[in-house]
Amino acid sequence: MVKKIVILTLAAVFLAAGMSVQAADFSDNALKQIEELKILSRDKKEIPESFAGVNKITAAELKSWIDQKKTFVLLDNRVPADYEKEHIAGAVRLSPDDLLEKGIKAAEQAGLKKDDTIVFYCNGIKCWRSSGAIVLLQDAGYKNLIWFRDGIPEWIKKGYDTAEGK
Amino acid sequence: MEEKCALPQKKGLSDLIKNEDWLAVWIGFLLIALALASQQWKLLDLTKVTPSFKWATDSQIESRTENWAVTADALVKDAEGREEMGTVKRLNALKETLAKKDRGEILKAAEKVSPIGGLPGALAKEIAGHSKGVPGNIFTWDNISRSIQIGVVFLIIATVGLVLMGGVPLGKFIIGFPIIFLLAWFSRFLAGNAIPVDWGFEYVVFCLIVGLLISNTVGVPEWLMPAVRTEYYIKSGLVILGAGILFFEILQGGALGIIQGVLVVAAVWYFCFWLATKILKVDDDFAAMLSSGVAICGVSAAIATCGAIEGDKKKLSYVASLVLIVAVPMMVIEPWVIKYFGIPELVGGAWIGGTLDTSGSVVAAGALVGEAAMKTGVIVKFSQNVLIGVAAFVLSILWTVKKGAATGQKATVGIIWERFPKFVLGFIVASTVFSFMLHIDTVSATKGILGELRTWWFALAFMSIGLETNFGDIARMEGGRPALAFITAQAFNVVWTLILAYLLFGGYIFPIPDIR
Repeated sequence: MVKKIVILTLAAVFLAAGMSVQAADFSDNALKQIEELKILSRDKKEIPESFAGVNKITAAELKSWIDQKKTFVLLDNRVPADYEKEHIAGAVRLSPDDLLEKGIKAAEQAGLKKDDTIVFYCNGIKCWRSSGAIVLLQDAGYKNLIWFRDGIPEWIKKGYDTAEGK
Repeated sequence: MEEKCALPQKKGLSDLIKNEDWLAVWIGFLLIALALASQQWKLLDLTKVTPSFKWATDSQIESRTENWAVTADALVKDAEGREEMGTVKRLNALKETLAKKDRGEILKAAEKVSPIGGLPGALAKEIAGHSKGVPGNIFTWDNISRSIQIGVVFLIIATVGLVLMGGVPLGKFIIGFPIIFLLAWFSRFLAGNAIPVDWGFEYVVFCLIVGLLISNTVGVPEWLMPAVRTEYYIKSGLVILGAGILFFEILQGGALGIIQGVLVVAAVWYFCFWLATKILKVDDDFAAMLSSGVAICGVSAAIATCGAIEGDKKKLSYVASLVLIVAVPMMVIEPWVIKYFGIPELVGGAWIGGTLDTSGSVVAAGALVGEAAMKTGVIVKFSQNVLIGVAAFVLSILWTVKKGAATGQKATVGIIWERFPKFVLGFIVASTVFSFMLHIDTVSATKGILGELRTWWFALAFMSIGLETNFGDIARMEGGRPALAFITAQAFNVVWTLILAYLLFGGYIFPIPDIR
């Protein structure tokens, strides 16, 4: 009897642990892409060089955009702890984790509008978050997405300005 | 475990809760399930549950600042060459704090260098790791309570297991276990100091030494003995180790990592076994543990082998100590050899990954050579780790058949099953579930706590080995022949791995992989 209970409990726990929370706001295709990106990151492989419909930007180009005071939203796609330690000065935070948990309204709460020009970055070419955020927002109909693939390590290497805190 | 002389009857299902092997499987599964449940239903913040044991005194930090500054210097020149002025700025700021030898400032400056990644990031991580370890932090209530929590959970679960098993004086166990746990805590504390950390002298050796010191000087009181249960602890730990052996890691290395891993492990294992048994006349069990320790590299491999073949714990402690001691000169000499002889970086990294024993020493030695070397070393090391599971499984079957043959019983499936060390199944189930069935996020979120739980079980196990072993028994073990077998096989390992590393990663058979 005890044994049966133990086995059932273990089975239930193992099964439950395998299911993760999915947000209904995004298409199956987008969610599948997210899983693939996470696997790449877990295996310490590089995220693919490009995405259809998304232009890329270098650190130097982004710096000149900021200097010229161009109109765009700079989006830091990392978790709060990383963002608070150090982020590109002027960036707003929104991670794909937030989008998966709270749905697309997380983007609206962050102040993003569908026709905004948005620049995405995270921790560099082996980090899945900026490409993950792009996949989700593209899926939700956001159009002007620019990818700073090299991320904050490249920004720091070049010696450009960063900020801390919330 | 007793040898059975009569034909074994099919035991009733009560075996599942009375047999020590099975109990270890349930204990392992239960702890794994608790970790998964905590993660899934957010019962605990799993990032705040593992205690910290790493510490360095202020003078130890000060004595390291010079070497760190020299390394930082080289990295500055490197960055200047690539016009990475941000890197230069932060590394120079770090160098300034190193000159001032102010620990708090050093830590802050290192944390600014960390996000850069690559070699500067690796240096920063090492510096931050040591600087953060203020001895006082180990003794805060927050840190100590984490150990106590784990101890209490272990005490309850272990006691329940013993109740089911029967025949154990529970009162003495309940008093003795916290004492063993405390001794293990103390040993882990000693092992966390900067000096053993740098030299790769892991906690198992400290647990063993503390246990040996006690049993060979003041002696172990009789009432403590019920809590000294090596097999019980080690098997529980091994089941949890399974959850950390993830098959995808072998894929990370791609074909080259797997090929090198398999060829190195197979060749070195057989060479060591042959040398030990045929030439040096060491017994089979001992030889198997030595071979796993040399070939697959690492204390975990030796522990898993000992469990799989139900070997003598004294021999296990001998092998574990050898593994760690012999690794020390290798950690220092190999990077030097790579640089002196101009061995290509990827080849050097693969060499280091295939010969050194712990992931930590692979990273440290690899970083001394270069970033690509460090990455390649880690890839190769992880590929080899997966082979621990394969080895444990294969050896269990082989030894089960062997023992059956020795007692004259035919090796029917029933008898193989009867004698098969059940914890290996727990190990394999855990590994399969974590490799293929659980979501990535779950696996990474529980990695820390499961590693911590496994470490505690092994710590308790090695403490138990020390407490029940006469020091002379180990030192005189078979007249130094096992040590000779190990060292010779390690020399073979070093040479053979270098050849393979050249062939596979040097561009002679396959194109040189793109690792930067």
